[in-house]
Formats: sequence, structure tokens, C-alpha cells
Amino acid sequence: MRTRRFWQKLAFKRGLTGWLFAMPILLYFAVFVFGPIIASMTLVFFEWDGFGALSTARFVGLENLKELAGDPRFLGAYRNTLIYAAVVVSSNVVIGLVLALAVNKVVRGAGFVRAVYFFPVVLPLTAMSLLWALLYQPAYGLFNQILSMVGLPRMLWLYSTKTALLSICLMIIWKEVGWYMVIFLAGIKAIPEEYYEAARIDGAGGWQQFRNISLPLLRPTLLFVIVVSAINSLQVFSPIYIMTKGDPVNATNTVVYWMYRTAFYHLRFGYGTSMAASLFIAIFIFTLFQFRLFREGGVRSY
Amino acid sequence: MYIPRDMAVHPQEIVAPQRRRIPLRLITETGLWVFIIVGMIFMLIPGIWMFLSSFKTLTEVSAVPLRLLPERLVWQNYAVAIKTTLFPRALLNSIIVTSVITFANVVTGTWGGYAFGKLRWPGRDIVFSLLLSTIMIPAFLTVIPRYLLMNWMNLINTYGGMIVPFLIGTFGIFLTKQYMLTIPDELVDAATVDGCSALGIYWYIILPMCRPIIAVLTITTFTQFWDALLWGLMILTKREMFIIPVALSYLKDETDVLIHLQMAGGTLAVIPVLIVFIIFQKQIIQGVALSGLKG
Repeated sequence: MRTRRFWQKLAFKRGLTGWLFAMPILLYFAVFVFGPIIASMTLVFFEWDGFGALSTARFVGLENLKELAGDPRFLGAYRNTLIYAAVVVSSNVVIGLVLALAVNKVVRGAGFVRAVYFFPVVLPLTAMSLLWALLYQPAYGLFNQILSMVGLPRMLWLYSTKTALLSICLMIIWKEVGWYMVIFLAGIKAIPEEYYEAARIDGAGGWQQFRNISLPLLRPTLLFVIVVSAINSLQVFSPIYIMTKGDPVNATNTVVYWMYRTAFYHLRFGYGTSMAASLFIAIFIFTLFQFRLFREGGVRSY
Repeated sequence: MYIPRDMAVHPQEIVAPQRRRIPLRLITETGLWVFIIVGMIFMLIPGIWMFLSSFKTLTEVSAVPLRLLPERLVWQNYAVAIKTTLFPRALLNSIIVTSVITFANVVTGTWGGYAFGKLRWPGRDIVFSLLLSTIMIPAFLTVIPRYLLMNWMNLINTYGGMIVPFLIGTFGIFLTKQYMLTIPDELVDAATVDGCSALGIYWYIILPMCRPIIAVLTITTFTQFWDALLWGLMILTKREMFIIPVALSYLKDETDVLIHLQMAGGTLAVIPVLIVFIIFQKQIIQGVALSGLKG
């Protein structure tokens, strides 16, 4: 009897300790995470300048969402964001993987090569945006001067509606592809060497080895890279704000940038929140995957 | 006729294709190196160009054809950039904000990971799923309500406004919880039997064993918040409170076409990061590689 009561008491004490430990985290989440989530779901149905008293917020029902559907600037921004994300994600995957395969073949100096490719990752994006605005300068920027030196036609880069968004993509790929390369390298290194040996004995060439061993075994890494890259690039803001402010003629306007302008320049917090909510539809599929990856305990390695 | 397996292939047949492959391998090897080196040049040139341009006059920066090196070093660019961005103050602000957030994330991440990964309490798994489900909500979706919350708490233009919403990250809790699986329960139980409290276990056992996790968490949190332009633009309007990214965007808007000044400002912003990267290069890259793999 006594021992049983002792164990009961211990279990109770343990449960209490656990709850006490978790309590500060739960309180914090309630105020700073769940609160804002609920607030943003509510704000979609309101119009508010964000500065008057809360009572000045006006309930508008579905007006915000209706307005979004017919707002050409927002729809353009949405389309730009999707194009930007598609270009950046696919380039990160392809170039990141090719670089990883190449660097993996390097025997001597691999650490140095890896560090050089990783280098732009650590540089602050705001500083790099300033820098690339200069590199892209049509009259005297480095890129156009190099282009004319090798006899290629000059380009307008950030100053043409056709190339502006892609120019920003190019900068971002330059900036972050090293990160994905390192992730791919870790995935490649985790594949046991014996698999390749076995394939070589069976007479498989380099391409066949890649097709039938590396690629299938890298699938979890690929998924991870796509998910992370998509979530990041759909939220693009800094390079737009620094380099173009959405110009020329809204060619580089993106949802998060336009949301920021709508809330803080036009003082329409409800409308801005509705923009965020509609971008959530595009990003949700990826965050759902991320959630599932996390729940299963992260990316599997071999 | 039966031929034993190992006799079926003549030794010559294995050697012969290899002999043919030697020049081919040389070609692919050279091709590989050309590819890698061209890529490396492309990675390095922009940074070098920024550094060189930061010492040039405006006419030199905009010279056609290219001027590789400045005629003489124009330190004046830095003086103006420092004055416009209030650089020492911005650097201090950035260091304070990012360090506090990083430190808090390490503490709360390991704390939460311990509470959800090692302690046993009723309702734990449900609560954890609820917390984890918030990673489905990207930051931009709640950025406006969080700004309004900070406004309501009178934290605009304060360090508090920059720091308070980011004290706890789900990623850190998750990472540590996964890592807890590698720490045997017996170790924790033995400490309990010896009279160690839960707090003591956290401090003396969990924290020291979480070192690799702490490294990853420090790197990811630090780089993320060192570059927090959007949040900075929302919270900070006073120049003395600007963090580096906001100060740089201010410099860009202030100086417009005076690109040489912007290059000086950009170089200033890069230097602290560069120092950290050169010192911890190996750990940083290892940390990133680890973040993609199962703990």
C-alpha cells in the first residue's frame, strides 16, 4: 500500500514538474503566437488604420477579399511572387545539386571550395542588394561592361519590365545556392560508398549511378530543399525594398512587399492582412510538408 | 558448358576499358575544375567589387570603360557612410538585438526540448503537436497583428519591440526534442534517484549534452535576425534605434545615386559578418549540413 502511494505521489509530482516547465512556453505562445494568428484571421474582415483606438476598426465582412480579387496591382504582385518562387526554387535545386556533385568529386581543397561557394550565404542580404543594384547599373555597371567586353549586347537588367524580376532571382540564387549545396553535400555524403561500388561492379556508368542510386536516395533531401526554398522565396521582401521598390511599372512588386506598403503607407491594416492570408494559400502546401517532415523527426539519411 | 562465375571475366577485360578511360577521365577532371573555378570567381567577384568601389570617387565608380582600382583610397566615403548610418550605433543595436534573441532562443529551445522530450507529463504530446503546428503559419501572416501588439505594448522604437516577439522559436524546441532521443532515460532517472531536481537535470545534464544543437541554433537564429529588415522597418523609425539592415536601406534612400557611399556602407555591414565567418567557417557549414539531416 505504502509503496503504491509513493509511486502515485511520484507520478503526480513528475506530471506537475512537466507542466510547470512547459507553462512559461505555453503562456508565451498564447500571447505572441496564437494571439496574432487569431487576430490576423479576424483582421481580414475589418478595415483599420492601425493607429486609432481599437473601436475605430470597421467591420467590412468579405469586402477586403472581394477587393483583392479585382485589384490588378495585387494580382500582379501575386503572379510575380509565384514566378519568382518557381525560378528560385528550381534553380536552387538544380544548381545546388550540380554544385554538390561537382564539389563532392574534389579531392584536395574541398573545404576551401565549399567555403567559397558558401561565402555569399553569410553576407547580409541588404548589403548585397545595394551592391547588386550597382552591378546591374545599365550604363556603367560591372555586368554590362563585361558583356560589352566579350561582345555581347548590353541589358537593361532592373530597368526593364522583362528582366527586372529575373535579375532579382539571379542575385538571390547567387546569394543562397551555397546553402543548398551544403545540404545536398550532406545528403550525398550520407549515402554509403558500397552502393556505388556494387553498381560499378555491375557495370553502371556515372550517369546510371546518379540516376539509380543518388537521385532516389536523395529524395528526402530534395523534398527538404524544395520546401525550405519555397517557403523562403514566397516571402521575398528585402531585395525588392532595397533595389526596386516594386518598379519598373510593378514588374517586381511582390505580395509581402505590397502588403507592407498597404499597411504602413496606405494605413490599411485589414486589407494588408487579407493579402497575407491569400498568400498563405500558396505557401500552405509547403508549410504542411514542413510540418510533416518535422513531425516524422526531420530528414531521413541513409 | 558451365563456366565458374569468377572465371567468366578475364582480367584483361577489366583492365582494358580502364586504360581507354584515362584520357577521358583527364578531360572530365579538367572540365570539372574549370566549372568549379569559374563558379568560384562568380561567387567572389561581387564582394571584391564592392570592396574596391568603396574606396573610389563617384567618377571612378561610374567610369566607362571599367576602372579596376581606385587612383587613391577615398576614406572620405567611409566617413560619410558612418555619419549617415550612425554606424557604431547601428552596429551596437544589431549586436544587442541579435545576441539577446539568439541567447533567448538557445535557452528556451533547450528548455522546451527538455520539457517535451524528456519530462513525462499528461497531455504532453497533444500540447507539443499544437506548438509544432504553428510552423505551418509563416511569419508574414502574423506580422501585422504582431506589429499592432507591439504598438499597443508601447514597444515601438525600443529593443523590446525588436526582441520580445522572437524569444521562443518552435524550431529550437523541435531540434532539441529530437536530440533528447539520443540521451538515455537511465541517465536522467539515475540523476533523479540521486536527488537531482528537474531544474538541476536541465542545467547539469541536458545543457552540456546539447552542445551540437546549441551551435546549430545559434548560427540559424543569428543569421536570420541579423538581416531582419521587414520587422526592423516596422518597429524602428528613430535613426538612433536602427539596426544595420534598416540603416543601410536608409543610406540607399538618402544617397540615391551616390553609389560609392553605399558601397562603403555595404562594406561596413559585411566586415563583422566576415570576421565571424572566417573564425567559425567550419562550424557554421557543419551546422547547416546538420540542420538538413535527421538529428
